[in-house]
Amino acid sequence: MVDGLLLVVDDDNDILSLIKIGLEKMGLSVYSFTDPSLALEEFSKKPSDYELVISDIRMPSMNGYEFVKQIKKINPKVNVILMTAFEIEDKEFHSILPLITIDGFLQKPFTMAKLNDILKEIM
Amino acid sequence: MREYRIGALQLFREISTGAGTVYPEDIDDYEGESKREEIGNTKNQRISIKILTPTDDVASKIIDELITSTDGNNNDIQIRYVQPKYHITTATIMIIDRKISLVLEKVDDAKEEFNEAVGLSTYSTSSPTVASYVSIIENFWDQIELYEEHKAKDRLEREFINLVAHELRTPTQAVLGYMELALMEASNNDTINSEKGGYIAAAYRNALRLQRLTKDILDIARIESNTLKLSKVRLDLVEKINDAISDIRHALVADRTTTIPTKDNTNTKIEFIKPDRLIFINADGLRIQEVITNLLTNAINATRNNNSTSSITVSIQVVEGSKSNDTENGNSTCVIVRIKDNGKGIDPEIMPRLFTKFVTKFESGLGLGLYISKSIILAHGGKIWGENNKDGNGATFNFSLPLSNN
Repeated sequence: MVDGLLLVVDDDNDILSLIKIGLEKMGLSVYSFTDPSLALEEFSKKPSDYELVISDIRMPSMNGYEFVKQIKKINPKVNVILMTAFEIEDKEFHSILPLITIDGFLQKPFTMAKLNDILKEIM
Repeated sequence: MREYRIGALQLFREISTGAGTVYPEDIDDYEGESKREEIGNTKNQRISIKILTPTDDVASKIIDELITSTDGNNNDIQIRYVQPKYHITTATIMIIDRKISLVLEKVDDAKEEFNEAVGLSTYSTSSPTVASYVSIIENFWDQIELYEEHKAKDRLEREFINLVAHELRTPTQAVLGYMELALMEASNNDTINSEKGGYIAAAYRNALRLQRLTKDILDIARIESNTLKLSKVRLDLVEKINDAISDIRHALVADRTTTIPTKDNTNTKIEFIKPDRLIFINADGLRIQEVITNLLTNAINATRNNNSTSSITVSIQVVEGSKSNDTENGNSTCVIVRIKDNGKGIDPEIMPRLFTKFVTKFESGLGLGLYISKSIILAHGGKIWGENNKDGNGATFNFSLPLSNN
């Protein structure tokens, strides 16, 4: 269903590998980073090769909103999914949403089946 | 309006620079009668001023100005902002000390001149009048403090719940996800029915339980701290019920494939009698689906050891106007969702406490589902109730919700 590359960012290494393995088992090619700045650097090298970016929201060096904003600046066509284990405050989310188009949202903990469903929906 | 306020605050300034005292009290003497008489000419004596004002930029600016200009007098000026609910002070300015009150009524905000902006003004030295104003201000003063404390506590609670949520969800995510991967692996290489496959399946089932428990505990925390927020939109109730049923069916299938086959769940029939009209409600879709899922899960658990086929029927009834079960909103049209099962029925022992926390007759679970469901339904302005079926076979759980008008 996806031909291009996927970029996954989460500062928690266990979660990051879990999502990477899960996606690879679905037959997708995945690059993963714990540091959003490094992910951004990688993304800017070949922005049009990426089809989907999945990012955590709260990360120490750069938050997910800022990260996907940068991503969209480089390639507005790329799909974006945000995820978090925190509560999403409606106010926070709606104040950001008009500024960035987000294609999907995952509230942790989610099952791999749920991840698969949301990918099918987007692609 | 600005002139009007400045005018009033000018009076403050005169008073606070020594011409008199401003409510509520002279710091050096609160009670003493003899000293109070001297207040009128206590030039350069330290006095305390309390200002109650609605929050707005003009007021803040003028108050800042006042504080700066009277700084040299070493006065103690405290300000509290009236919360919007109590904005009665927008209409009136009161200046009160222990002996004198001056009350200025607002006439026209738009007027620039002080005497045009202000209407009836009363100046009183009568002690009953002054005392009643003093007590009004005192009450407001204390109330605002309580309100601020309450708000701060709420914020702390929310932050705490959010932190706990994160700390519970992150490891749950890892355990759940990795067990799912292990289970997929076992299915792919046909070891799912081996001993090892059994271990993985059991661990996965329990990871799912952990996920549900985390969700329930966080829901409870939000309900108890009054921070349960609803994002209400107009939505199709039939669609929500379909979603909940479809999720439950998936869960049943997953359960069947990861459980050593027993007669459990193998024969659960869920039927949805769809209404012949569209039904829209104003509700938080995820929360309503959560309620339906909770009730369906209970129905499945109640029918678990049935000798006959387990059968669950979901139906919807629209109740027009005054016939509504909802006595408080007797005149509004509402919709009732019924989930009927042919299980063991509600134990009479727990019937009166059905919707309280930690009440359950099931082997597993904390007994939080109905309590959470009730909180969600009440927050939507509906009702929820359970009863044993008249034929003596199983139970029916119902909830009502107001219908969306447009």
